Amino acid sequence: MSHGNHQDRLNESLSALMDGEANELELQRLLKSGSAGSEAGQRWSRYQLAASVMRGETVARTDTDLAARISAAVAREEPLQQSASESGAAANDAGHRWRQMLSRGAVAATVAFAAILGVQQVSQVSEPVPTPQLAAETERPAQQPAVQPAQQPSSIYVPGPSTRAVSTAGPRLVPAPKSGVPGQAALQPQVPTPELMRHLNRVMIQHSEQAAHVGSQGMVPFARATYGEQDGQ
Amino acid sequence: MRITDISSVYVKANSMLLALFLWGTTSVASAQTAVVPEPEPAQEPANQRQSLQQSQPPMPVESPQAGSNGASARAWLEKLGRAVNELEYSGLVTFEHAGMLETLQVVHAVRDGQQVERVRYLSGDPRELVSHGVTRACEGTGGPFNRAALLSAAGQERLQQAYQFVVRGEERIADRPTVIIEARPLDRHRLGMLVNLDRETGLPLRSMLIGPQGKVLERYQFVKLDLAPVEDSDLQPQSAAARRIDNSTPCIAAQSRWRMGWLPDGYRPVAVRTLTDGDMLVFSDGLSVFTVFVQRLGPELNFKGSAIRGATVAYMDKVEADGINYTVTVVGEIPDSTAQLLARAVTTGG
Repeated sequence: MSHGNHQDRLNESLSALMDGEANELELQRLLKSGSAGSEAGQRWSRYQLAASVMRGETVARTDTDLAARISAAVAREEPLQQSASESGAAANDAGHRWRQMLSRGAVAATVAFAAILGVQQVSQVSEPVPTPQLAAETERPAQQPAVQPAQQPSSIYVPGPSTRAVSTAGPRLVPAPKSGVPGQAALQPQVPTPELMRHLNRVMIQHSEQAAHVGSQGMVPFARATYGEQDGQ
Repeated sequence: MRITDISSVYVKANSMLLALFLWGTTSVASAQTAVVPEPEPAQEPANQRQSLQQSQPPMPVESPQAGSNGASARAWLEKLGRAVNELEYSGLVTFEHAGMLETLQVVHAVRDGQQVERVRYLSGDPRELVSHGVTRACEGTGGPFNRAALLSAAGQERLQQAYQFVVRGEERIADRPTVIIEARPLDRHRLGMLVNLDRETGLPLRSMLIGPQGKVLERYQFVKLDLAPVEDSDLQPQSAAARRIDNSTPCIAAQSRWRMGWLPDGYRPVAVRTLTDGDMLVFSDGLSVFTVFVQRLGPELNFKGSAIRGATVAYMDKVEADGINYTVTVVGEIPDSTAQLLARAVTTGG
């Protein structure tokens, strides 16, 4: 039971992170639990994948085993070459040893730093997904196997954000929680129908065109208005 | 002796490691301000926003006394109002929202007293828009709330009631010196704004909308600005599929049976339009704009909740009148909680 609760909390934190709304506590919780092989790690990866699929993006390799590969890379890290010319003086020996240690530590630190920043970036730019639970996961499970990406050489790390460079104009939907049962909406995620998306796009365009009239934002509303434009609208 | 040497070396190494980690965590923490909701966002939005300016801390343009700063901000806003209406310019712009970065070409010219504008997306699907005739058409009917709201004293007065304007410093954008102006909302019903105005012309070279949690929701930023007079050929659409809109119709062009039972302070109706399937009512506080759509739509649009794209939120709800269900959609660059309140406030005019 307590394990179940913990898992629930983790999942909530994960959703929050997807939305870029995780607080520090949640982030810590996730980082603590989040070795790539863990359930949370895999779930995160699935969320990202599903979100990408939902936006109709060509899905690049998602990094399920980033952490594992970082660990491996650090372990493989060659010790610093000892300069052979030096005599085996004790002081020098010790000096070399700490240099070696420091360099390893530094590698580990920078890699860890980069990894955290990577997550930060992802959470910052991730197109928010319905808050309570990622709709895509329940909506389109059938698509998932189809987009399982091919293996890629372990030395290349494709950062998450790059998979988002291709945009889809569709806004994200957050259904209003049913009154009284806050968690209910999570269980029945709203599938955005094409009609709904068309409607939303249309009103956003019409709004932006009006806003260009009345706001003091220069051409920004036009940028917004044109953004959502699609063929046949 | 050797042993102590080594151990001291270890200590040294460890402390350096520690320093590294500390450096790492603090940078992460500062990066995090942009992401993590602060517990009390309304309290000190200014600090958060400053932390979003990760690049360089803004230098004070002048003494930060509230009075002179406010007056100077006001002068800059007037300059902005003139620039966005009267200046001829063209340039390249990045437009970033919801994690998407797009590049656009923008052209702005004045022909026969009317503004002609062209926006063309250079990335993603080809999209292009040419707008003719944004004039002062709204001025008579819409009161101070039109595109030139910043120019009139009354418009400025209203704005000052909704936002606190602060000159934040200087920064270089698109190879030009700019002045950073922050519009700090005085309540929860509008977004904050950070605008970099070109020192020479007052044109906003970057504008960012900032959410209640200090998150940048949208960023529009020039990469290249050309202030040479615009050639007529530059106003011609470059793609056959370009959309043209004509904005020269007067603002309040129609009557609507729909009223807002509640409006956040400072917002006023600026336009009413009749659509084929309903009405649209536009409201503005001079800076931010939202639109209320009330339409008779099919049951397939039975959705209650919000849709968010960058800084733009659309909240959908229903309203019943004379036994008929209407779909209400509130769209705007406003907090979604406000959109929700507004959607509920739609009633038929008594």
